[in-house]
Amino acid sequence: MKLSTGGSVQTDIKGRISEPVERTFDVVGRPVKKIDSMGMILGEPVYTDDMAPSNVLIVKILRSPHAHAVIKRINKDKALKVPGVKLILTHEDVPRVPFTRAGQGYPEPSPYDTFLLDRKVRYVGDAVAIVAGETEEAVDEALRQIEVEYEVLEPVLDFEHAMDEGMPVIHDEPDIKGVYNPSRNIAAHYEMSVGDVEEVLKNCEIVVEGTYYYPRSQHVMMEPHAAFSYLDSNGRLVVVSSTQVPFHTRRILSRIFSIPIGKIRVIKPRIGGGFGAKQAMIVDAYIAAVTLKTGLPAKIVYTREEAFVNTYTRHLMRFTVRVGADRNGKIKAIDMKGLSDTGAYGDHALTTFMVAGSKTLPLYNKVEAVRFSGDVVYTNHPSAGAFRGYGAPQGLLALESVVDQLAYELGMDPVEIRKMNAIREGESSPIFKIMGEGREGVEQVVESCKLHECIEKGMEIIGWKEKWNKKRIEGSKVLGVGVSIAMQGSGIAKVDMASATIKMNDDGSFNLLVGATDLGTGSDTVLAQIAAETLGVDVEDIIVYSSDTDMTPFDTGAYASSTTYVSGNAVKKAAEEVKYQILEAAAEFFGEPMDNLHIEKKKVVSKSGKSVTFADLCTTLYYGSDQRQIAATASFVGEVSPPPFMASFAEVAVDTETGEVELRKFVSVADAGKALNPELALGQLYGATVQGLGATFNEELRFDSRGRPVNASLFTYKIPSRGDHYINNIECHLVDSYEPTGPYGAKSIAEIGIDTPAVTVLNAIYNAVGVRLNKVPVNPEELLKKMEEKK
Amino acid sequence: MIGTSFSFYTPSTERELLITLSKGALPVAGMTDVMVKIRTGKMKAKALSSVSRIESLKGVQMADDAVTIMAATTYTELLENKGLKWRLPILLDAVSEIGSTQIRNRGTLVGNIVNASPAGDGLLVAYLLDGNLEICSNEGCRSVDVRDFVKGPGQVALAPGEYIRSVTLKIPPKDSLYAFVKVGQRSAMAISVASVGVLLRLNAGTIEDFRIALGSVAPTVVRPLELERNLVSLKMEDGLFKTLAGELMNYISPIDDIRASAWYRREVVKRIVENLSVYLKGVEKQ
Amino acid sequence: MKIRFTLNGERLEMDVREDQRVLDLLREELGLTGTKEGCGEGECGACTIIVDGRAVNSCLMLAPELDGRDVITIEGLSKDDEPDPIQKAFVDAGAVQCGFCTPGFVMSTKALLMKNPRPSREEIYKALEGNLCRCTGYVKILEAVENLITKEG
Repeated sequence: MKLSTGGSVQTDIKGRISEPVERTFDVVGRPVKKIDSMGMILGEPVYTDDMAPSNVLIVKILRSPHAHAVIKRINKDKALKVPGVKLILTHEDVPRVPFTRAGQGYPEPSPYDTFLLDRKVRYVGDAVAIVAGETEEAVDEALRQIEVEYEVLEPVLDFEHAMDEGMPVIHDEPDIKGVYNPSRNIAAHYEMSVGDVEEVLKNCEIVVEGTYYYPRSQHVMMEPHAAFSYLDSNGRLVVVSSTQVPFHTRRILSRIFSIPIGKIRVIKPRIGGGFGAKQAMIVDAYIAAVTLKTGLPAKIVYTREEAFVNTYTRHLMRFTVRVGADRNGKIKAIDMKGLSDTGAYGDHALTTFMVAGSKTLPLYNKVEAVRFSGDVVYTNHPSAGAFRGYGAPQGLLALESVVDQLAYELGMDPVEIRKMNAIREGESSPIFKIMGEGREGVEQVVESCKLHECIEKGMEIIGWKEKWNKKRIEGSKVLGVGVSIAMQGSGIAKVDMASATIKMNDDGSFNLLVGATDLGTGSDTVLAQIAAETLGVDVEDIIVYSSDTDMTPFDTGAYASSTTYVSGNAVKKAAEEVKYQILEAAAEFFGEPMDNLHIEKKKVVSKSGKSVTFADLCTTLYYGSDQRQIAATASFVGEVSPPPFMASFAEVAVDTETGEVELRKFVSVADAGKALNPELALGQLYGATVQGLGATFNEELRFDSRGRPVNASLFTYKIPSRGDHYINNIECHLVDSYEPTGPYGAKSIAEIGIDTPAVTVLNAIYNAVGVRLNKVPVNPEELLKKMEEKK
Repeated sequence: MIGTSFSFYTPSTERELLITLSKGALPVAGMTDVMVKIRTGKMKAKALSSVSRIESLKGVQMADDAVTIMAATTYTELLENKGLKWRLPILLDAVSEIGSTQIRNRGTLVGNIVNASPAGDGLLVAYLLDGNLEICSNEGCRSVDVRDFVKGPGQVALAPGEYIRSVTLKIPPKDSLYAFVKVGQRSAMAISVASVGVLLRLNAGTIEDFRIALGSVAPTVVRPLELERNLVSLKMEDGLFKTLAGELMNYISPIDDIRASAWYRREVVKRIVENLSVYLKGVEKQ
Repeated sequence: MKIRFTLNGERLEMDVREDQRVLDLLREELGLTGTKEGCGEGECGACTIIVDGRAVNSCLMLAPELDGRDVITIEGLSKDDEPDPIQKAFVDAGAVQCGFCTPGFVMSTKALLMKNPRPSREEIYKALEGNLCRCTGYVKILEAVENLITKEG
C-alpha cells in the first residue's frame, strides 16, 4: 500500500510515517454527543435572527412579477414618504460590479453574471429594489408604494429549447464575465472523452440507451436565510450570517463594494441547515449595502417563499446515456450526454454538471472508452446552485437506470452486473484525472473501497436472493426490488484548503479555532474528537469556535463533503504540532530527552517515572520559566479526494389500481472510511436518504406558463414528514474501512446518501411492474397510464 | 409578521359577537386557514371576530338520531369525544386525517365547512351525513343544508352579520357499514387528489340505505342523491359496485391541476368505488 | 389591547397589538427566541408552543387569544438550568442536528406526554406529524421519544 499519496498527513511532526493501520482509539469512533446540542434544545438564542439587535433596520427586497423584463423606470418618491422608511436602493444607486453568488474557491468556476441590482430582471422574484425601514409594516408599505415600469420580454422557460436559434437572450449585458456563450443562453459547456466511444460501442454485443430527468428540487433547510450587519467601533463592516461560506462571503462583499477584505468581518453562528443553499452569498450584500449607506445596523430574514425562490434550487438535468457491453455483461463503453438548467444565473453551473459525471463514471472504471459532454443553459427560472449531491443524483439517476436496463436486457441479475463492473480497492479511473470541478482533476488510486461489502450487506438486509425475479402479488399490489451503487468525493482535491488553530490553556483545556462551518451536521463535534484524540484529552477539554473571519483561520467552508476530511486533517496536523510542543516543553521541564516521553490522559509521562499534568505544564509556561503560549496553526489541502461508496436497495409495492408506490424497505450501506462519530455519520446518511426520498416521491418546484412559481410554500411543496409511509422502512448502515489519507481513516458521508434513493426506487418499480419511469418525482398517474398501456 | 393590520375581537358571548359582526368583522374560529390566507394576501379583512371564547358555541350535543357540533368545537375535542366513536365513526376517520395535531387542536369542523374547499375532508363528511347548519344574525336564526350553503369552491351563502352556531349531522342507520378513502400524495398533511366517503346499510343482502360523497372531483363535494336512491332495495351482488362506479362518472367533473389530471381523478374514483367492498368496515360497538 | 396570561409559570399582564401573531409577541416583545419561524403557515411546527395543555402553532394564533391562557414555551421546560427529561432524551439519542426544528419537536412531545405519559408508537407518530425536520430523517427523533418512555416506564 502506498502511503505517500495523501501528502503530509500521515507523517507526524518529525516526518516519520505514522501507522495507517487500525488501532484502538479513545475518542474517535465513538458516538460522542453533539457538543452544541444542549444550547439548541434549551432554546438558547444561537441562530442569526435570535441574536440580531432590536434597533436594527428591517430590510426587504422588492421582487419582479415578470420572468424576463427590462426596468424602464422606477419611482420611489411615494415609498420614501412612508413613515419609518429609511432607505430605498435601486440599480441606479448601487455599484455595478459583476460577481457570482456562488461560494467557491477563487477564482470561481461560476460566471460573473450577477449584479447586486440590475436594470434587467430574469426570473419571477428577481431583485428590483432594496428597502430598509424601522418596522416591518413600514417596509411592507414602501414595497407596495414603489412604482416600477417594466418592458416585458418573452421568457425562456423550456430548458430543452433554451439554445435554439432565435430564442430571447437572457444575459445580453456586455460587462459579464465567464459565460460560455451568452447569445445562445449557454452558461457553460463541457466535454471529455477517453478512447473512441463510437468505435467501442459499434463493436459491443449490446448497447442500451435511455434518457432521464431529475427535477428542480429545493433544499428546505428549516432555517431560511438570515443575516444582520453593523459597523463596529472602528467602522468595519460586521456581517452575522447563516452561511456555509463565511470566508467566501467576505471576499464577495469586498468585491461588490470595493472595500478591503480587512474592513469586513463575517461571523457564522449556529446554522439551521444549509444543504448547499447557503454555499453562497445570498442575502449578505443587501444588508451590507444598507449598513454601508446609513451606518445603521440592518437585518434581513427570508420568508419561506423567498427561501424557495430566491436562493437556489437543484439543477434540473437531462441525461441520455448509452452503455455498451459484451453478452456476459462486461461494460465496455459509456456515453453520457447532458443538459442542465441553471435558471437565471450560472451559480455552480459548470461544476454541478461535471460532478454528474465525475462522481458517477468512476464507478464503472473498467470501460475501454467513456465520454461525457453537454451544456448548461440559462432559463428564466430561479437560479439553481449547490445542493447536497451537487449533480451526482442527476447523473446517477440516468447512469444507474441504464445499467439496470442493460441487466434486464441481458437477463442478468442487476446486482451481479454491478458487482462485475464496479470499481474495487486499489484501482483507479482515468476520470479522476480528467474531471475535476470546473477544471482538471487529480489522479488517484482508490485506497479504501468496501463497495462490494456494501452490496453484500444490503442484499442480505433486503432479501435480494429471495425477492428478485419472483413475481409477488398482494391484492392489487405488485412487489419488486431495485438496486443502485454510488460514490461521492471528500473535498475538492488541490482546491479546498482548511486550517485550524489550537492553543493550550492553563487548565489543560484547548481552544480549537476553525474556519470550518458547522451548519448543523455536527462537524464541530467531529473536529473536537480529532483534536482530543490527537492530544490525548477528552472532548470536553476542547473548546471549539467556528467560524469568524476575524478569529478563526481560513477555511473554504462547508461544502463538497469536505469538513471531516479536509478540515479534519488540518485539525489533526495542528493538534500534532501542539502535541510536539507539549512534549518538547515537558522534555525541558524534566531535563530529559523527548524520546522518553509520551502523553497519557492529560499528562506527560516519562519512562523515568516523572509526570506532569497539562494544567501544571501550561501554568508553568504561562507564569514560570521559559514563558510562552503553546499554540499551532496548520493547513491542509487534499492531494486526493477519496470517494465514499454506497449500495442502496429498495423494495416497493406498486398499486396497479392507483399507480401509487409504497416503499416497503429502503436500505443504504455506505463505506465512509472510519466513522469518527458513528452516530453523527449515520445521522447524515439517514437525513440524506430521506431528503432523497422526498425528491423521489414528492418534491419538484413547479412554474406556470409565465414562469411564476406555483408551489413555493411548505403547504404545496411537501417535504417528508413523520407521517410519510416510508419513514419507518429505512435502514442505513456503515461498513468501516480505513482511508490512509483521511484523519484517522475517515472519508466523507454528508452527501452520498442523497444520490441513490430516486434511481433505486425507479429500478424497483421496473422490477415490480415492468414500467421504466424516466423521471422523479414518481407520478402515480403516469405510472398508472404506462401500466395500462402495457396491458 | 402577518403583513397587514386589522382589528381582532374576542367576544365571550354571542351577543357581543353580533355587535362585532355589525362593525364589519368576519367570524372566525381556529383561524388555521384564515391566518395563512391573510398572510399570503388571498384574504383581506379589516376586522376578525373569534368565536373560540364563546361558551355557548362549544361542545357536542347528542340526540337519538343526530349530533350537533357547536362552531367553536375543535377537531381534537371531537376526536376525544367518546360518544362520537360509535355514533359517527366516519367523521372521526376523516377528522383524524385533517392537518396535524397542532392544526387539529385549533381547527374546527364548522370552519372546514365555511372554507368550502372541494377537497375538505370535514365538508365531505358533512355532505354524507346530511349536515345542517344553524346560521344566526341580529334577525334571528335559520337552518340551511350544507349542500345548499356551499355555492362553489370557497363560496358560501353566509351574509355579512351572520355567523354559524352549529352543524347538525344525522346518525346513520344502525349497523351501517362505512368507508372513507383518500388517494393522494402519500404523506401526512397532504391534500388528497380524490376522496370517497360511503355509508351502506344492508338487510339480508338487500341495500336499505346507501350514501356516497366524493371530494376533489367537482367544484364542490358531490353527493349523487338520485343514484343513491336507485340503489335502495337492490340486492348486494357482485358487479353492483362496478356498475355504480360507471354511473358515478356522469356526476363528477374533475379538473386538471398541479396535483393530478382530470383523467387520473376519474380513474381512481372509479377504481375505489369498484373495490368498495375492500374498504367498507363496520361500526365498533359501544 | 391588554391581556393577562401565564407564561412559563409566571403571571403576565401586557399590552399587545390585536393583529400580532403569538410567535412575534414571544420573539420580539418577550425576547423568547427559542420558538422558531420556519414557514409561517402551520406546516413546519418549528413555532409549536403549548397553550392550555395543547400543542399549537404560534404562527397561526393572535396575541389576544392568549388572554387567560396558560402558555409554555421551550424556555419554560428546563427548571433551574436542569433540562426537561425530553430535552435530555433528544440530546442523548442524537436527535439534534441543526437544531432549528428541535424546540418544536420537544414541545409537541411535551404536550403529548402531559396528556398521555405512556403513548403508543402510533400516538407518537400522530403527535409529531406536524413537525418537520430536514436533517435527521426522523429516525433519531423517534428513538429519543421511545427511549424516554421506556426509561420512564
